[in-house]
Amino acid sequence: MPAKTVVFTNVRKFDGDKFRWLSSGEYIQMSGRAGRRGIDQRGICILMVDEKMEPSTAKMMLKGTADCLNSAFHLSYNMLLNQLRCEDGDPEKLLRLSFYQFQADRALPDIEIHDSWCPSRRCIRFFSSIAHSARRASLTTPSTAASARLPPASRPALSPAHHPLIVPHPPARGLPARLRAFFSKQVKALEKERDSIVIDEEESLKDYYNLLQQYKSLKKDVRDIVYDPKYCLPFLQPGRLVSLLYSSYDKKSSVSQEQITWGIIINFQKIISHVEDKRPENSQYTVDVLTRCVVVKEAGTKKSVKIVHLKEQGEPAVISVPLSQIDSLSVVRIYIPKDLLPFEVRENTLKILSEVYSRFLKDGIPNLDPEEDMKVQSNSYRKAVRRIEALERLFEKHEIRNLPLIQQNIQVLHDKQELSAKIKSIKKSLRSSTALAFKDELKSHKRVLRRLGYITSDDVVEVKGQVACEISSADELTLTELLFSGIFKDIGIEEIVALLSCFVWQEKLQDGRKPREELDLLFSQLQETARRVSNVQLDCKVPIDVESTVNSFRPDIMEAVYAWAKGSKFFEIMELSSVFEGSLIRAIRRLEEVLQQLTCAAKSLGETEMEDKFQEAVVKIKRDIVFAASLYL
Amino acid sequence: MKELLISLNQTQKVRLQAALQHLAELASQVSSSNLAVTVADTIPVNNEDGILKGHGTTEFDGQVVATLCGIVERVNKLVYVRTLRARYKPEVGDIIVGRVIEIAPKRWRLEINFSQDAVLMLQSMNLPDGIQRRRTAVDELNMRSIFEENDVVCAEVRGFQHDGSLHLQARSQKYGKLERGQLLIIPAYLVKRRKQHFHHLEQYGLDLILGCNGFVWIGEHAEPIDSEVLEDRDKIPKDKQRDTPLEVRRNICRISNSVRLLSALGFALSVEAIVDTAEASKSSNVDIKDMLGAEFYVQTAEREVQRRASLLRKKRFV
Repeated sequence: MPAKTVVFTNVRKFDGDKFRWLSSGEYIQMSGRAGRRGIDQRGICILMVDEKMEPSTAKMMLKGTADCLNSAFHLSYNMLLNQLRCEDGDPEKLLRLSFYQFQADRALPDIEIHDSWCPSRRCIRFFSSIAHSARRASLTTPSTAASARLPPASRPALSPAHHPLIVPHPPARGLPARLRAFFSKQVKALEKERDSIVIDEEESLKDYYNLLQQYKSLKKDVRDIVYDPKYCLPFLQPGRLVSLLYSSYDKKSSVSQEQITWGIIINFQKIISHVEDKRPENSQYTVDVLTRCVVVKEAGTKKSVKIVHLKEQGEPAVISVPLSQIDSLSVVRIYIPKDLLPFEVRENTLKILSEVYSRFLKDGIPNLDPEEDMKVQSNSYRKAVRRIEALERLFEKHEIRNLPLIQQNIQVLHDKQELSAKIKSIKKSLRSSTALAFKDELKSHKRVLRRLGYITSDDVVEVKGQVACEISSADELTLTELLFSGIFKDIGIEEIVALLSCFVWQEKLQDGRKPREELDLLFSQLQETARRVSNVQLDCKVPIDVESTVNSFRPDIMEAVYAWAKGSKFFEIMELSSVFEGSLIRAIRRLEEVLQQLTCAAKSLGETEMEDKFQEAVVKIKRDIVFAASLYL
Repeated sequence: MKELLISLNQTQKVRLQAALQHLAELASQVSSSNLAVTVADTIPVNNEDGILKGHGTTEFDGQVVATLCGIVERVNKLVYVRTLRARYKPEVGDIIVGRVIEIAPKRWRLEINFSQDAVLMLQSMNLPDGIQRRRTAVDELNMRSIFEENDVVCAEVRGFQHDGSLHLQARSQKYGKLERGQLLIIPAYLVKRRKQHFHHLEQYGLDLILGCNGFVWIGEHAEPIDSEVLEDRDKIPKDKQRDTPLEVRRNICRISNSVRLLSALGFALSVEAIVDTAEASKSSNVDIKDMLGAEFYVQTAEREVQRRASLLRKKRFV
């Protein structure tokens, strides 16, 4: 109904729980009614506020964003069959041009997209924000003020003809193609970059690089075995010197590197996890270590602590580190004072540590030997150690080891490998961007239809399919199967209506009474059919929960609808079921719709008796208040 | 089998007999029990309850009786008769070829071999200018400039109205008037429903439309007109005087003769079978006019026997 003026008599609304403020989406929807198309220059919106309103609340309401518009598109069998029976009908094309697909394409991760590469994407976002703000402005204020209030940069965009970015192409089709072009361009650029890196003796260097990688990973394996809580817990005594891994950020080359510093163990703790596991070796531990740190204190935030090397500037602090950050345990233990709270005590302890460090400077602080000291006895450990030894021998033999520029070359090769990995990942996302939403679902749905004999192997719709084409208001597969099982043939019209009511009733009643025996028998037949259909769907890899699907058919209003078809008054059937009047009326109206569709289905089968039966059923239920056009008579 | 108007000599008669015999054997191997019925035959249903009586059946004295000649088909509890030589029975989405027989207010009536004439409404077809708009009285007066009586038109079945009349639609560039070609009328059951009924035979420069109603169109290939090319439409009428090249005309005749031949033999028409037959006639140097002669007729039957036998063998191996 068009209106010039919209009046809000209140700015609060009952939402079933309490009176709350109108949301911005609701406000936009309601006030958007104001102004008749082609008649009014502008619509008027009056807001009657009878209580104090915070400015922020008002702003949220009047200038907030509209509700998101998300596609709820889904693939139904009925739609698929109707598409398949036309020569032009191509379900894939339909899906590709759907709004759902458009939104899915837009939601692709745009992390790797530089703005310079993708004007279309930027343009859409830009355009939608402009359109949105324009709309909002015209809703809340007269339009002259609206354009004046827009940020100056965006104002030219309101006249699309002058703006080069907005005109070019419809985004729905252009975007995926553009994305694809963008990705492939990026891949080409990266490949070019990769190929431009030329290294002497690349083959042998690569060999060496691979060895290095293997060596690293083996070392890590060994460390993981040795520093498993099972072995190392007894050695985490207070006072033991440990070397810690920390990452330092090199400003010159802007890469972070793993480095090693030393610290003193103070204590260790088990991390309390929610998983019920009593064995100590399976829990996680943190170790409290005294070491030199830089404490950065930013206003308002928690202070952050960063480990630095012993020789660098910083204050001594006790921090807790995870076990995985400990590089090795040394044999050395030093005496630590009881009270570490005073700053000087900690400083002194660290001085002792530096002293130890400088004394052992020649060949490093000796570590605990895994086999002799820590009694590590596991086959995988020995195997790994043997392999490391073998690798070390290989390193020595490797001719490339003695080349002068080995470190730089390795670094270059590393970069090259990284580039290759990046190209691979982009190619992967390129593939996923071309992938169609619902692709798997479409496949499995078609499989179901073939399995049930609705379509042939070359996608030609069969007799059953033609029947299912007619049914769109109820579960088309179950209803078609039920129809073909001949169940409607032997039962009376009232029973037909009662049975069909299970298809349109979805609400769950707690104390639903069981219907009488003959209706219950029909209902169990329906459940059986539904179970069979769901099992076929499950076999065809449609993600479906058989039991919940079967239980979604509710027998709750069977009695009421049966009585209605028998000619009872509405107040009489209301006594038979404990549901809301509105729900019941809605269900009966939907029932009429289903009956009309079934009439068409029976007609396409050529089964005239059944057609008459369904028509008669329509006549029986279509009466009185349930089908009154309006209650204001 | 349709009465043949070809005079066969003795050896050809024997060969044809043998081929047809063979085909009958192969058919009986493929489908186990296809019950053929004539009008008033009782269809056995073994006293099952809840039998749905579909097309071509009725109940008489408590028994299911056929009202049409054809083959009994069953889908779950549904029993119906699939007719062979009856009129065409349309289904939504079918591609049909028809001939305009009358121009009525806002509609054309088309003969499509259905029990009544099909209706193509002015509003359910794309106007030649390609613009989507309301149809005015002027459009109504100009209907004859789109289709005249006796034009051959291709369209899609849209659905049945409540009064049982059949409505068509032609909402795409590929539907519409068909020109420069031949229309063949064959029994509708020979055209099986497929995903594709429009075929562009590139090697011949032809369009082949196998209408589900048994009307087959073979004509010179016409490029579908894009909306972008519409501005150049003024040039097209001049083009109309252009004659179809002789080579294309020959191809049209060759293809239509193979359609005639296959339908006379009662073989299902598929684009592959039609092209195969045409190619075989070419490779064995059979003139177009001789394609309908006795010798090629028998040869085609024999080739079909071989094809079906090899298909059957393949199926067994799988």
